[in-house]
Amino acid sequence: MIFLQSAFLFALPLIGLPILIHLINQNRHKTIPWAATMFLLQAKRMAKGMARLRYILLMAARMLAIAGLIFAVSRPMAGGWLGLTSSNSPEVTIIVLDRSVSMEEQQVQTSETKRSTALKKLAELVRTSENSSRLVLFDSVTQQPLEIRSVDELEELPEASSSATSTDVPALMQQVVEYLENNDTGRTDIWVCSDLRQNDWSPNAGRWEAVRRQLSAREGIRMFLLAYPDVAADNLAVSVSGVHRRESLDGAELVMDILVTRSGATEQEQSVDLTVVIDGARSRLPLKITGDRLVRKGHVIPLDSDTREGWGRVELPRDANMKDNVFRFVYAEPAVRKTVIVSDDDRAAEMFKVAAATASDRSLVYEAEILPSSSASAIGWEESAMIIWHAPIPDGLIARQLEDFVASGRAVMFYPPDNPGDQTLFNASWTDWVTPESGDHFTFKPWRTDADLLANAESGTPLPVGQVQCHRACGLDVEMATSLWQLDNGIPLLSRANTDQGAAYFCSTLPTPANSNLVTNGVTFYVMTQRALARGAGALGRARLLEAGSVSAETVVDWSPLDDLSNDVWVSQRGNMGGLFEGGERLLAVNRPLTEDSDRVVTDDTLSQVLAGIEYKRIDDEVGGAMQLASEVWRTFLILMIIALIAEALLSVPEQAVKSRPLTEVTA
Amino acid sequence: MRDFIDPGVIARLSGLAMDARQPMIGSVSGRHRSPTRGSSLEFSEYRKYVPGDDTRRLDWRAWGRSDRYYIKEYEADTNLRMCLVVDISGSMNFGLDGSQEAGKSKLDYARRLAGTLAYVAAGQGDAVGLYTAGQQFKREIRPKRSPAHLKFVLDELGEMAGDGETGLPDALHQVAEKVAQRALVVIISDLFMDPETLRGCFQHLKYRRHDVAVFHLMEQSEIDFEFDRPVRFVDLEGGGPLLVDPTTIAKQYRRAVQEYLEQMKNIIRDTEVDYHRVSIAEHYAEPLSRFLLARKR
Repeated sequence: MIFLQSAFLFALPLIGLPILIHLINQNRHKTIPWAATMFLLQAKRMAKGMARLRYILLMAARMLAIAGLIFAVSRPMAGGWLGLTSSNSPEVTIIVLDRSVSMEEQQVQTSETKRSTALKKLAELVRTSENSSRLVLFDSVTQQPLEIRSVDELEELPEASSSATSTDVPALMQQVVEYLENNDTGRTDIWVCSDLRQNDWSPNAGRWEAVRRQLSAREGIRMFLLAYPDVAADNLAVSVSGVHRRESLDGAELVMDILVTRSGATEQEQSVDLTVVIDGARSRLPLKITGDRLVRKGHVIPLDSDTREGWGRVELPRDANMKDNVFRFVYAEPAVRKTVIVSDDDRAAEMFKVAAATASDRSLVYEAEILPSSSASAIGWEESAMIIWHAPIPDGLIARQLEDFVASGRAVMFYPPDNPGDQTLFNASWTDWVTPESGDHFTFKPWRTDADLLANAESGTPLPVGQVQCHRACGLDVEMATSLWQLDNGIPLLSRANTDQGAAYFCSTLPTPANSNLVTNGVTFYVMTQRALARGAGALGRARLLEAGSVSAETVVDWSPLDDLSNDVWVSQRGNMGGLFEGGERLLAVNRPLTEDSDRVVTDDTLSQVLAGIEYKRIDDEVGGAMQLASEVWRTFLILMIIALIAEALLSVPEQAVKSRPLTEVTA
Repeated sequence: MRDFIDPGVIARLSGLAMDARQPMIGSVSGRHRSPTRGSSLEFSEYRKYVPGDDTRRLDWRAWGRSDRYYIKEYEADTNLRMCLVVDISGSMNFGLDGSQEAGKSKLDYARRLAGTLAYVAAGQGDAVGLYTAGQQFKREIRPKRSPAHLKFVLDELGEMAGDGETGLPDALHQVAEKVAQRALVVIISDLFMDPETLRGCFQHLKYRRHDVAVFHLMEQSEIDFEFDRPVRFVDLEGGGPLLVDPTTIAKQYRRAVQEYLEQMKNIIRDTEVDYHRVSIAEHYAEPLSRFLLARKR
């Protein structure tokens, strides 16, 4: 509780005044010689319990009345919970804001979102507590500290506005910790505003360990988690994949797979009126969804035979979250999906080639080329969609070329060679090969099913990853990577290095029988290879699908919008908001990361583990909730005081005066 | 005349004789009925003549009518022994409105009551005795009917002072044992003791065929218990002081008093004692008048 006039709290010792007065009164008693002592003793015996209770209640009521008065004039501020129980104003207030798509779930009547509710309440808190501390905003998009001069700006800042991105909460918290380390912040309040989505919080991320260690070691830090864990029921999200143009008998057609997901566990059938916009022409597509997802594979839309490229959107009607109701795409002549395999192991290379060159979409052209590591300089960087690097991690020029290759949006998959070497690339380096301590294969931890190479199929069916047996794995020393699949002993089996563009994957085992059964159990190996290839191929050709938040601010300056909706997006926000653009001779569709469509929320137990050792108060709120983080509560204390005074008066009311009875009585 | 005896009161009470409620066995002729036959004017019964009877008491008219000899018997009138038992415990020093000033205490009131009663009894030829009950049985003056004895009783009444705990129950049992013949036992006390103890005393006295009368002296403040500030009550009978907030126990105090009075009422009813609860605020002549009037034959 914060007191705006805390000087009045020095009067708190006055609470003891009733006791003092009582003691003085006791010493100011009259002395009366008394004859009827027997009645006095009886009365004392009878009244022992009640009199004591009455006395205690009377004292308590008087003390409460004084306390109520003192607290009322001290102008207390309180929240709807007991966490804000310190009268010390922080020197710095840090707001960690989750600007992910899921935070845009809104109350339909007021259009208030989780994000805007959190901002509004925090602004109210700072405003009403007359807090003079420095206000610093860490938003999930920029992940940079932004000092705010006035709390009134908070809700208007572009850095606090909605975005089509996802949030990397551990990375954001690392930035906060770094800020605390580099700045002498003194007493600091950290307000984390998030909807606790599992994909944002990455509870298994190793980075949490450092955050926990550093935050728990720091003194003067108070952390508040303003959580919005409720998931809107029946919120629909739409996405499109595999968009490509193909020739048909009537000319040409656009083929795509449409996925509609629904939050909330309901089996009730729901009609969905989908709108498909192709180059500005709208068409309706009525669908019915049962369960949590609907897949419309190979949906075909006729095109003019001379239309070689263009753009489009699929749109859902208004629901609880408007930000996942639109998915944009662009199409053009598809590029050849070329994979270059750099390996000195012919057998393994052949396996990679089969997985990469076997077409998963017959309308596309797949190619694969094997090169020995000594001929790596001969790689055709421009026309390749993916490189499978099964050789010691390179350095020098080849390493720079690989980095540029990934930075251009394409994919590299690293596999460990027999002699791994000690070179580092993408903050990762191979260590030593290891075998299981017992048995002939390793056991795995659960793999990541919501996104990336091992994500469930569009139908929701998981890949048969559990059937894979790994007999030998190479250790990986990696920093700043997302673990997709991990052995029980902690060795990452499949990781993705954190890069701005493209993808650099590290798979710690090989498909050869001595190392794993990835080939004999071919589905997992084939799917992960094809998905990596598809990702890399997205950067080839004129049409590209981009995830919001993965594009640097410098790149977007030259983009020009393709549709009216994209025209409304600020230039600085193009990389973070969805839109259709043309830039650098490419057609670009920027969409939310599909991980945002997952409605899985971090459980209380998991959250306790993630924040273990950090003292924090969790405040669960809801969109547009009336709960105030802080408000002046002097009225409450005034009412308490009045109640205490009334109780005191009632307890002090003397017994009804007894009418004197005539004493005289004769019984003869 | 002592200062605690008011001639005016004596004069006012002169028209009211003090009668016993039951036959008394006296040593001399008096105004009280005797259980034996005597020579008063009041006819009692006929009985057959037996040799040895005084022939002067033969009813010749009855002989004339029936030709048989009958002796005519009359009630015997005798004098009365009045034993005054006065409680002189410390609590009797409690006076009007808690005052302990001379002349205002229960003891002074008891002195006036007892003195006047002694004077009235002696005036009608009855024997008067005095027993004072303090912590122990302090003083014992056996009933006698001489004027010198009355003086002795009055002197003693004038000198008695309240102190210590009450020894009234012991005193009453001793009176019951020591006074062999029927007597009017007048008890003057505040009776601050267990009522059941008193029941035993009254039953003992009644068993010894004494006529028992009680003047129960109380002060109004002892009943009402109206105080508004903490008070340190000092026990007049020597108990330790009690510091209490009267507002917290007033209700219970009044309930205790009412229970006590109710219990007393039952005891009085059971033992058929002549009971007079007296407020010391009223003039002592009033209870005395009521007492004497109630006994008038």
